[in-house]
Amino acid sequence: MKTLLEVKDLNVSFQENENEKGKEKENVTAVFGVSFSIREKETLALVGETGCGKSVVAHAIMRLLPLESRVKGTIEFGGKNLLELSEKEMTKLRGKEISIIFQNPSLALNPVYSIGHQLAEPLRIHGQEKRKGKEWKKEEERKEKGWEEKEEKNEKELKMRKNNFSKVAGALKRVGFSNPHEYMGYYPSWCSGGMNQRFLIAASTMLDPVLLIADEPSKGLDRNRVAELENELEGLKEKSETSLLLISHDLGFVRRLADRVAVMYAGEIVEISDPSNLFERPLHPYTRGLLNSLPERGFVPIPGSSPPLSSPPEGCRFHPRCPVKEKRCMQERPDLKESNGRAVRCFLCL
Amino acid sequence: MSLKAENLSRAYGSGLLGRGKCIFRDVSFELEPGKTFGLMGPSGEGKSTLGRIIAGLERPTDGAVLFNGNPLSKMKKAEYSTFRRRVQMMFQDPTDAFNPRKRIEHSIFEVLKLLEISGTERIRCTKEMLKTTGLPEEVLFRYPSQLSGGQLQRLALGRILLLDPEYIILDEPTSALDVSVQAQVLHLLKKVQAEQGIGYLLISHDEAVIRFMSDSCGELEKGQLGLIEV
Repeated sequence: MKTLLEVKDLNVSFQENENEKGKEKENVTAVFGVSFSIREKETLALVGETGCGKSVVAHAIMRLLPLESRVKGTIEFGGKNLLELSEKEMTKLRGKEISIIFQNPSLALNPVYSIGHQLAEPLRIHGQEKRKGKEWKKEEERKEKGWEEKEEKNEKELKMRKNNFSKVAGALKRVGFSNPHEYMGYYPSWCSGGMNQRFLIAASTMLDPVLLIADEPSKGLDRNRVAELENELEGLKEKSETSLLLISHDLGFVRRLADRVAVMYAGEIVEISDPSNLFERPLHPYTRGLLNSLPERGFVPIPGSSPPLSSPPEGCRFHPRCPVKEKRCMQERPDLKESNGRAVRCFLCL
Repeated sequence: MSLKAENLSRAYGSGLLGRGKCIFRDVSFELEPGKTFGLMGPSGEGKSTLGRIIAGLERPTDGAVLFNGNPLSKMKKAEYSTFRRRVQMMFQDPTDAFNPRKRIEHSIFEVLKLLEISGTERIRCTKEMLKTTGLPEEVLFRYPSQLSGGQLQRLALGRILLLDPEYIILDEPTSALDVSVQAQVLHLLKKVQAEQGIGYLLISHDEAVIRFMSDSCGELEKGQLGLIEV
């Protein structure tokens, strides 16, 4: 299988406003040396605690980080480095080749537009670009012929709207709405979180992106909704050959959907593995701790809490909470070592 | 000391013209000190509303909440204020529970001020509270946005403990938290219960959490409370 997206040594840092009086501006490195790749048709899951930098990675790929952030490294997608593209080129990719489902469905939708209007947006934006090219040539002829042509243009526009309309209806049907025409007139506030979630999925898969990023899609949904969402994502993978970058802290959900899982801790990837090995034979102590705090394993917590990203500990970032640490762990930073298709960032494993 | 719910019902939209839509009917259960009663059920079944009624934040359409045998609706002002101190509520989202513009210190001291505790005593109480909840002292000087959800939820619990409550209504205490942090908070809740003999009403849609925590439990479904064996 071909590699679709390759992230190499990604570093993202933010400049924080003065934290305590008198101190200089603090630099917070949210993502530190993250490398991974996604192959075609593959689902890669990124798991870890809140604040470990999962969403920052997603936003870096989409180039949606705020201006004050500093991004280093490369993100290669289809032979191009996304970090070097101009905003204009990126707009062409966004929504069409790479698309994202945001964390909070009720906030990601615009409250003042109807669902139908919002779902047609990707079609309008990316449809226009295609038309522009063709119509430039005809522009001059049209100027000579006058208003008769204008009417024809209106008709064309109407036709395109109708076309968009039926495409939106089709997309809504695909995510499980049996009478899409009714829902297109709805507003986000009329619908439940689960429904809004499905609208977002419909919108982001409208143009058959090659890569879909789902940022905590199961957050805030209750159990039945999560099961539905799972079916939808699975169906999507089968039907449209999309690669999926799934960001979540819900380990059960990840286990059922992912082909490979990357575990993040304090801005670093600590382990990459296939789900069955990861869940049955976890290597990194953090992964083991994370699995032990699952309900079915008796809620055994990891002692302590994750370090602040403004001042991560020396050496291995997990060492203050690690049950098996050695002297070396406190001084040297371990590398991500690979063997048998698994990779782990620990001196004591492998 | 007991807290009892007797035949509680709640309807919305009832008035002169209609009887409204009933959410639940004839719900009765009893909370005991040092024990946990788990309440589960799908979303929208009125679990939180029931919790708010028990805590005295809302009134039932029918039925009564009895604290030490006295119904809430017939309490005198002084009695009612002891009830409100003794029965506390912990909410789902800890970021909403703290004033975002004030340091944590302020939010904690505010409670102690209401209890009329003097300056030096205040600091001692706060330090003790931080010790039980396992937080470093520097969190006091931070703003809520600089702390993680788990830390805030522990602070929320600590703030409640300052009031020395007998019962705490826990409304989805861990559903906004990660699995690893959830485990920490649940263990803290258990520890506090064992030390201080507090009775919990635990509201959650997560069956695993309920089974882990509860001594007895019930499920709210289609407006009825069904008791379940644990």
